[in-house]
Amino acid sequence: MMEGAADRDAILVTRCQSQEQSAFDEIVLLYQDRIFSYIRHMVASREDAEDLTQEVFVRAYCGIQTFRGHSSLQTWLFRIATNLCVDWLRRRKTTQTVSPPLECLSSSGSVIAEEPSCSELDPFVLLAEEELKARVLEALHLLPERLKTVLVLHEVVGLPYAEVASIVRCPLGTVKSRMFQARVALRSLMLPYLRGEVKTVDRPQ
Amino acid sequence: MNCQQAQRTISRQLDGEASVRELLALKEHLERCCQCSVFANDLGRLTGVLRNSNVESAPESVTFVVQERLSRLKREGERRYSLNRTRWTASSVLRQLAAALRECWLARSLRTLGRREVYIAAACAAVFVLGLVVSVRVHYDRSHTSVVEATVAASTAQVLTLSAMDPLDDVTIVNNLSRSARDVHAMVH
Repeated sequence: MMEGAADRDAILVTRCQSQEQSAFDEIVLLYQDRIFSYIRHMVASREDAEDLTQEVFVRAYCGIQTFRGHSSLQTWLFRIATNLCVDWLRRRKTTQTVSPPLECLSSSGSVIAEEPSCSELDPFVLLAEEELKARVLEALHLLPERLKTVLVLHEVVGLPYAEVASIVRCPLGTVKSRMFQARVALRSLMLPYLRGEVKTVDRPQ
Repeated sequence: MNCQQAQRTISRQLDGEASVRELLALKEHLERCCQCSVFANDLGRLTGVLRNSNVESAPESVTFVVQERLSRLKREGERRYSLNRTRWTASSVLRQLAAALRECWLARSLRTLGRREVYIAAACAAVFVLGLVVSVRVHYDRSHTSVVEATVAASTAQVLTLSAMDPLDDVTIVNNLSRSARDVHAMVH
């Protein structure tokens, strides 16, 4: 995290600890998009993501008086979000049956487009890219939570490995190893789609 | 470089962590290994999708609902704080009253109260009433000062009562005063 952002956060925390309500509102405005985006990738439902995002800030508000600044505010907020998501995913796992394999996620079961080679403005290329993105996000939800967490924090949110390690409270080596496992697992899940066994977008002849 | 090493290097390459030497060895490996070449393409494509996956903005309702929930929490917290303080103060005052009455009863059974003791007992009662009034005030204005005032009043009432019962026993008075001071200190901190 940049020095300027760290200083700004430290000032905001101090103001919050002096019971200044507007400072916490600023924190919410600064971080709500990133936290929501992270949670949105961690849980499948948008409504649940909204509820969990609200919960993150409510918990942060309750705990900010005891925040000692051993980690950055951003790390602390993402840690709260991670703990909430993991709890939510575990609770959900106990009440839900096994997720369907990726092959079953195809809505139409029809044919995929060829590897895009034409202009990027080609609507079919764009459609195929959107389709791929949707498949990747669906596949993310099939990953084990410990792999999904590091993958989303590093690749989607864009946090460096050191910060991810601090959030999930693991050694740096473990995080890198999980990252490799997550990439391999995601590719395995996406393999039928990538190889064209599951095809969803028809290009007219 | 074998396939396992090559695949780990591909992953490190995506993070910009592979050394030049590793990259050269990887390039050499990929030229002769079709499987790892496909692996590299797949990982690159998937990583690209993840890194460019649209960052959705949080809905505006999040800010609103968070603020709403926080103000509700604050209201509940203040109410609970006030209620607890009032209960604490009331129980403290009642405890002091019970102690004072017990002392009065004992003293009355041992000897007849003199004029001085009667005055002090009256002062005691006045201070005690003050304590009660202040503890009621705590409920309404929720200020910390009122809670301290109530505690001081209740403690002073007890000290005065005890000293009225046995005015010559300085040690008892000092002990009671120090106990009152401890009560007030605990209240403030």
